[in-house]
Amino acid sequence: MSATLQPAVVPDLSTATSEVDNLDVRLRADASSRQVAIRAFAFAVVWLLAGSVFGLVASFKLHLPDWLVGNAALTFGRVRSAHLNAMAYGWASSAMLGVSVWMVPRLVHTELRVPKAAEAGLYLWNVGMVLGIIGILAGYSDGLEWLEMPRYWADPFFVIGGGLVGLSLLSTIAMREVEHLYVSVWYIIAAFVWFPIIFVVGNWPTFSGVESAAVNWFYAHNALGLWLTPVCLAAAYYFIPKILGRPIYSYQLSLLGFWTLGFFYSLNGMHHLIGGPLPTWMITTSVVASGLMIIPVIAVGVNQHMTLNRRFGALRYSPTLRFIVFGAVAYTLVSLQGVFMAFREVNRLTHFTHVTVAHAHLGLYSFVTMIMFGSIYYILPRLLGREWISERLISWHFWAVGIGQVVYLVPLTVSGMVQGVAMSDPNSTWEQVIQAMMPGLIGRSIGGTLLTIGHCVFAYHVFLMFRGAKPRQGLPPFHEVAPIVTRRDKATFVQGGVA
Amino acid sequence: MTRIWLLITGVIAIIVFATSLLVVIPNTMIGQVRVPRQLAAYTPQEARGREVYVSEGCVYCHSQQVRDPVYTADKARGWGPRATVPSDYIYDKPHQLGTMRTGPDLINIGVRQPSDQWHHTHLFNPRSLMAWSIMPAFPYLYEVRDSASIKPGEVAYSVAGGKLPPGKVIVPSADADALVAYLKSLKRTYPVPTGDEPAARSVGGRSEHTMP
Amino acid sequence: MLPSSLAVTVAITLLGLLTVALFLAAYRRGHFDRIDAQSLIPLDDDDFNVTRPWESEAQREARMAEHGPLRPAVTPGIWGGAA
Repeated sequence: MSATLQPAVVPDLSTATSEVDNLDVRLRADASSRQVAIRAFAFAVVWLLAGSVFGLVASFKLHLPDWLVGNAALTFGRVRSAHLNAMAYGWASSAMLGVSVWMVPRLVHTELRVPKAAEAGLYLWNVGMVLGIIGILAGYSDGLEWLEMPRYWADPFFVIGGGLVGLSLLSTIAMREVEHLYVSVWYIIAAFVWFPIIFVVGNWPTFSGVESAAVNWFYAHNALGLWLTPVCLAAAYYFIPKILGRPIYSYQLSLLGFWTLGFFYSLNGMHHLIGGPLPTWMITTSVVASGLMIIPVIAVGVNQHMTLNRRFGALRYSPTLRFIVFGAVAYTLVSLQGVFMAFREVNRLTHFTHVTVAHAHLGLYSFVTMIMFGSIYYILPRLLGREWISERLISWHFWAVGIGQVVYLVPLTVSGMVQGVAMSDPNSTWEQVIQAMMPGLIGRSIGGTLLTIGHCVFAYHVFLMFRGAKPRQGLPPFHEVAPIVTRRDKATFVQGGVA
Repeated sequence: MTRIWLLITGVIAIIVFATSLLVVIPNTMIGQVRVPRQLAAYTPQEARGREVYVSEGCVYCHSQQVRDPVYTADKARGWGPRATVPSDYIYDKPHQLGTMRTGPDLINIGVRQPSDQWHHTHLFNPRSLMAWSIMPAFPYLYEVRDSASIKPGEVAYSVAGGKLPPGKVIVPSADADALVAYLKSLKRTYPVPTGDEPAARSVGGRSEHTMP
Repeated sequence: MLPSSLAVTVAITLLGLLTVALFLAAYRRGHFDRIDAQSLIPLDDDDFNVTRPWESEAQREARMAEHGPLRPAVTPGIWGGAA
């Protein structure tokens, strides 16, 4: 048991001692998670690059269909799967593991417990990733969307690896020094409890026929709603108040948002099968639950907007906030879009089209990925004890992916709608349907290329950070509030040696 | 300390509830789906073909479901005489229902395209038949040989559209034959056994698939 | 139909009642007291009294009124780990 760390539920600015202790708490929390978190981010960036390559290859193949067809490993069906899995379980999940192990100690004012378990879990997770991606490209896909990685020789690594990280987090929380759990901790715990359960259910090998479809989409939508979403919301709920220096607008709203998210999101899965050969009551349940998602989405949206109210200028100064607020707004947009797409009259036209793909990327990129970028921009300097090297690299990253997303999403959505209309006209030929989607496919490739350029800029910047390069400018690129303090500067900081 | 257990209990309750509703309950009902008389199980070759279908990722562009004809154009497009029902998929493990239609629905492709020649040349290179197609080519499922080298009893196909040099033909691999056998087996046009029949529609396009 | 059968209805009702009971128990035990204080958890002492360049005069004054004099934002050259 470590020496007691002063809890800081109510700020006390009257004594310098309190400041020292509070700083000490943070430094020790960061020191305990450092080893795991920086490795998690390193893995994440590698998978981001790999996933980008897979994505680009897949995208180009759709309008250059005779490109790279000589080898089965590069066929569209396999590369597209590799892209999804590399991004969802490689990039996003590794980044989320890193954010979780950093954030929880900070929020419970306790050092990360059993960090070796978390580290082992991270490695196991990535072993699973390598095996899984190889499995997909070699043709051993399990054949279920979001569950392609081979269930017997790749998937166990995710259950065990994720479980070990969860164990570490749970131990940390159980032995905490603060009494109350902040909402971000709720979301993170929930995510780590939900993921292994849904992953095992989704991969359970005994289902066939339409039941297999129901279980497939029960899992896949919950991977979005109960794994990816909660951790990203946790990050938004932490960084927005933290950087702005003011608490979240309504804590009650955030609790309402949490419980309604869990309860409604978990029932959404069948909306991927609207119109399909499933019992109507199942599909209706999901459509209703999708509609009810309005409640948590509005709760989160109101909370975040009101916290940011009249302080949007912060986005000019803080790169972290730029990415995170972008992500938070995208969360509201994609969720509202999803609510509409679940209604049968809209679904009739959007189902089976590229609107779905665009919607998926509005969620997985504009929400999840942007929030992970923002989180890494905040966390990594504090763990490495140095500022980001170049404000310009951050800016290029932001604009490349910002514009890239617009170029990707708008043409693809529009083309998808035209595709849907064409498909619903029984007299249209399939050639016309293909022609309808073509502008969107090309737009996606251009947008995807821009995104990849942004990723390369980001990866390069992260690489420079790891290598210990010194920032070129005199000021920290963040213009954020406090400097990045390391242990040796602690004394100077307290005595006012630092401004 | 009690708070965290409260949270975890609540979180687990949520997922148990959802799993019960969307996985467990349907599972207890699935035993009541009848095996259609007119639907045979996949032969070993067709089953292998299905594995190839899964392995190549065909599901990412092709669906295998005909939706309600009242509010979709699936039937009018000629994709099937009726909406597909759960018993149509009784032998499918895993399902390949699909969520994208970059290409047409395939649940009745065996009816629309019964020709081996069509399937093999299409798979070898779709643009040999339709210049506008964006479907991937699968040349690695075939062996390209001189037509002169084909012995009697061997099956080979010529490919149009300038996708093969003159004098060459393609010989399907075992996997290509299996895949085509599977595709040809995709026929769900028989009338549904009673008890699975889609009931009358109401205004607004909602249909009732009743499961006993 | 199984979903509307008695067994399922009873089971779901019991589950729902259990949820309500847990909620009430938590409320009684004081887990929902001082809710607003919980929203301060992520904010450390030194997060409050720093000038933030994007804040308006009114916002800055409100911050000073509540947390005392503000420390200026970072000065070039004096921070941890970098030149």
